[in-house]
Amino acid sequence: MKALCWNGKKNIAVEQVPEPTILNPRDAIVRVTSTAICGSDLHLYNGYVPTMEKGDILGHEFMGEVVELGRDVHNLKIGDRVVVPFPIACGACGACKAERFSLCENSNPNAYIAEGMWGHSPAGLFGYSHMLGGYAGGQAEYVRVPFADVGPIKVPAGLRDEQVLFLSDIFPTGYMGAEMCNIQRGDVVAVWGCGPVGQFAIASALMLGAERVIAIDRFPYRLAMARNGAGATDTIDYAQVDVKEALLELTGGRGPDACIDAVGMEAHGHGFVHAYDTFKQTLKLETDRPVALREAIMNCRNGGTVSVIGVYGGFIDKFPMGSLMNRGLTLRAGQCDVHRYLRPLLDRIQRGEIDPSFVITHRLMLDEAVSGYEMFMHKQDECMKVVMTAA
Amino acid sequence: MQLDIDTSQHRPMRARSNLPRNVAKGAGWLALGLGIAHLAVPGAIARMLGVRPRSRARTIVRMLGAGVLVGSVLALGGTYGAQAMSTPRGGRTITRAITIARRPTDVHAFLLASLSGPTSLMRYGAESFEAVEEPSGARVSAGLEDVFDDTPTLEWRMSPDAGFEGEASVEVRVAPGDRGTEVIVRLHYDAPDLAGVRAVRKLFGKDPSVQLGRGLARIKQTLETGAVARSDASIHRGMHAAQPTSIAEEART
Repeated sequence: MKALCWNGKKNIAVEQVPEPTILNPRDAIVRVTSTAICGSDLHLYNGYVPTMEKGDILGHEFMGEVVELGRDVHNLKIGDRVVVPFPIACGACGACKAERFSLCENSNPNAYIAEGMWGHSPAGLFGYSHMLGGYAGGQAEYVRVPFADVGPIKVPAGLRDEQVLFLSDIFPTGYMGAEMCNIQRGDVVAVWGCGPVGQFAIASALMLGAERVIAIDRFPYRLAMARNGAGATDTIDYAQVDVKEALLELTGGRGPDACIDAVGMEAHGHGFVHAYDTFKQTLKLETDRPVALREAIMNCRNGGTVSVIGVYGGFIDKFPMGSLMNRGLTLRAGQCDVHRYLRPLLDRIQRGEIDPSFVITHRLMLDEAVSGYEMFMHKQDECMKVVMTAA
Repeated sequence: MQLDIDTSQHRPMRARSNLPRNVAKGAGWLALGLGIAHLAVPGAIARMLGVRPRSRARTIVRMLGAGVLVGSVLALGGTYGAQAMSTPRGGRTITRAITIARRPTDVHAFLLASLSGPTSLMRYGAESFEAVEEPSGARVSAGLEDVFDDTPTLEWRMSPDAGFEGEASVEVRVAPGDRGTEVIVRLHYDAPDLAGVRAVRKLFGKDPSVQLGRGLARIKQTLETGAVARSDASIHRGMHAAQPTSIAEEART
């Protein structure tokens, strides 16, 4: 089968690889009908994530048709259309029982590697390094889905792939980012990063009752989508105006009640701060660039919440701990517990409250994946989200 | 049914003398001081030895001092490195714990049926090719004899002909808050190794502590999910690309 393989930093290629087979009784094999490139995939592409091996199949946002079932999967049948959540969860451990599916205690066979890096291991993920399991990803024609009786959700008839594909990751991720803000009536929420996850964070904050949602980015087309597609009430182009001044003006001097970091480790900055982080990163003295995170913390109102859904991997420098502690901020973070949100968000889609396909700007074949990554990486042709089909 | 575990009956491990280790440490510190002195004041050392402090004599004294210094660093590194992970009685103790979402009676019964010693615990559920490295290259399980097999704590003790001393125990206790069962494994062996060697072994997953943790994780997966978690890469010996295995490759493994 065809699959997009990682062969090194900025070196990916669509190659012929073996088709997956059932390895455990609770596996399923899914024929991928649609798959997307995620901003997190760019961290792999750019070589920021350790424990990648030549030949790893990428991709964690995918859906398709069930073509084979392990003997212990009884809730699916051959031919079912399913969306597959990107964290792999067993459903039986303490974390899964607490609905913290991204923290599954049983799905990472290489947990000892993650323990060395992070203290304890989170769940295994599709197509996201050997530290997180060494699972083949879904930017391929077929994929093996472990714990298929727990993860995949069946897609009702009448919904196109594009309407439900993002249930696999970015829609629930944005939603969880907004949910972690504990939005109250009258709240003002600021979202750093108007990529696809940021778009869904904006839309979700409004769904959850925010009075105003301020979108922050530097690309006009992304700010335009934030306003026209996701519903942001205000936008800030940080390349044109000072973010702090703008936020103080928009919030009557208080600062936003909640700040969402939907940017993560490859934040773009400017001036001295950006030069400092880039310099340290080049020397491997700092693994991530926390520009957006620092701004979110420094600008959040006293006693507010900072919600981190942008992906970070290692260690950062100059973290404003003094601001966080002395002003009583709440910091919440995490990979998304996708399984918890599948049904409620699918219901919202079916009720017509949101059509997630608004973020799609480019549709490619899997064979064009390399150019898709390039376009997504450099934001060419006003690229926001690339969706691929295998055939 | 909750398992009634009486930890007051737990037999403490036998205490051992620290004299050999203390002698080694003392000798190491003495050598360190002598080495520094040889390097710092070679003329004075030469005079103490009854040798005229000429240039050649000073050079020889410095060389001797450098050699003694290197030896002292290695000796102290060995003794303190081992002590960093040792109990007061010497040797090295590894403790790993895991929580399993099953009743203590079920976990205990499973462990009794599945384990014959710490190596079997480390090896549980591992692929057949996965090497399990015993401490100091000696088979920990080969000489272990059952001490208890009918109490909540499983214990094994190294038999006298094993070449070094060691004990292992598996304690099973109720986890708080309806979490299930806590399993605590303590492995002690009197075969210290350098801290640096241990770090390298940990990096490549060969450290007994890492392997003990992996074995426990596989037991947890088996009890909670019915199978050991396997990925496209983890089923292979060594590092392998995260992609499905070809039929030819499968035949080779």
